[in-house]
Amino acid sequence: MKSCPDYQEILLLDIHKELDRKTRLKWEDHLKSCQLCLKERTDLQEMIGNIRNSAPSDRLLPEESQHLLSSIRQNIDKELSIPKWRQWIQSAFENRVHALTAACLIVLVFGWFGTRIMENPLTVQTASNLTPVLNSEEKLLMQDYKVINNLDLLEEMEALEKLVQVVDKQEYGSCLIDKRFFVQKEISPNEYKI
Amino acid sequence: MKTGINNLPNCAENLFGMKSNTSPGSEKKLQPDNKKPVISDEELASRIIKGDSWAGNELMQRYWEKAFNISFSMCDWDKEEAKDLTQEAFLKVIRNIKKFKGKSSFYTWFYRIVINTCLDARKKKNRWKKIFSGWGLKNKGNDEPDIRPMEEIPDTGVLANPMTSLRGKMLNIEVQKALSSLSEKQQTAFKLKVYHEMTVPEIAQVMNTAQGTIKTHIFRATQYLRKNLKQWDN
Repeated sequence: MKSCPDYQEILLLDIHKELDRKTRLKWEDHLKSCQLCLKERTDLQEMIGNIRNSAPSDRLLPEESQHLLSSIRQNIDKELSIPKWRQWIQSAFENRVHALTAACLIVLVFGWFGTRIMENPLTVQTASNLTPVLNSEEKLLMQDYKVINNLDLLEEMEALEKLVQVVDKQEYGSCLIDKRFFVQKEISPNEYKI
Repeated sequence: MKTGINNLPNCAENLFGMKSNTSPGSEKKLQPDNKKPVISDEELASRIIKGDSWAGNELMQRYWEKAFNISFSMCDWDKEEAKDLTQEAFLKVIRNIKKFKGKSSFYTWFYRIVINTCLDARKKKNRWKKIFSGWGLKNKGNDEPDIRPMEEIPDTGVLANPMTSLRGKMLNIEVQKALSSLSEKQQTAFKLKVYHEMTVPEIAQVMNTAQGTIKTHIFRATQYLRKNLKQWDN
């Protein structure tokens, strides 16, 4: 800009009508002696005036004004009739930062619970749940193990059976341990004589 | 700024058939002309919080014109867009009325919402432009500012011959081109100063910036325009 460097800021303040009274007096005094600043001031005032005058008119036709006012009024009435809980939800969604934060928190909370459940699955204890789940090989081994564990008992039972057979044979005659066991042979009284 | 022809009646009662609803405890000041009690903006705000739709309409009556004027200048003189932005700004005011703490005056807070609404709309428009220009849907290069064609710009309010009107439109296009090279804040500060004749303290409050910064914005914009509009001297 073609003006004195010391007065450039004052010139701009004068153009935009922001000069205080004291500075204005000093500036007017300077203008009396400086043609450069005076010309620049005139040019700038003209430029600002032209810019202002070249702005399109913001006039609205009466029907346009009515339509705008009625639209605004409808929107205001609609907004004021919304219940407060819906207003709160709307404002939460409008405020994207808050909504995103809330969404992240929900994901974190559910994710944490989800991982906890995956690590420690919830199971209802039933009789079948008490025994661990085994595959077929392990089942066979388990059966063999049971047999081995009960082997002594089986041997004792076998011995008892033989003993029963011998004793019964002496008392009741030959009898087999089958259904005929229960069919007693009639024993003559003389058989007990030694 | 030239104000539009307001063919609407002054009083809200005549337009909307509403009765004034002033409660005994409200702040009132009497107008000398018609001696009707005037409710302050802060009182209207507190009534709107309670759900008073009359207060909402009264606020709209007071500020719709100014809101439209600002939106019109901020959205490159597009009337339809200005109307949409005015409606959106009023909606935002009603939704956020509870956030008005009274630290600044109501109109400063209101104009801040209007300007932010316009700036957000512009950013959104620029974002879409960048996306579509990359797809070759726009023939213009990315650097060229998107200025509305001359025939779409409304006429100036000053009654003038066609040549003067054309000159005004051409100058306006050049001004828009030059301003588009500046930052958003510089553009906004300059427009509020030149087109709306707001003072630096008012602009500083509306833009929530220091006064010194606003002065710097306005001075830089003025110097830049002075340099680029030299051919328009005389």
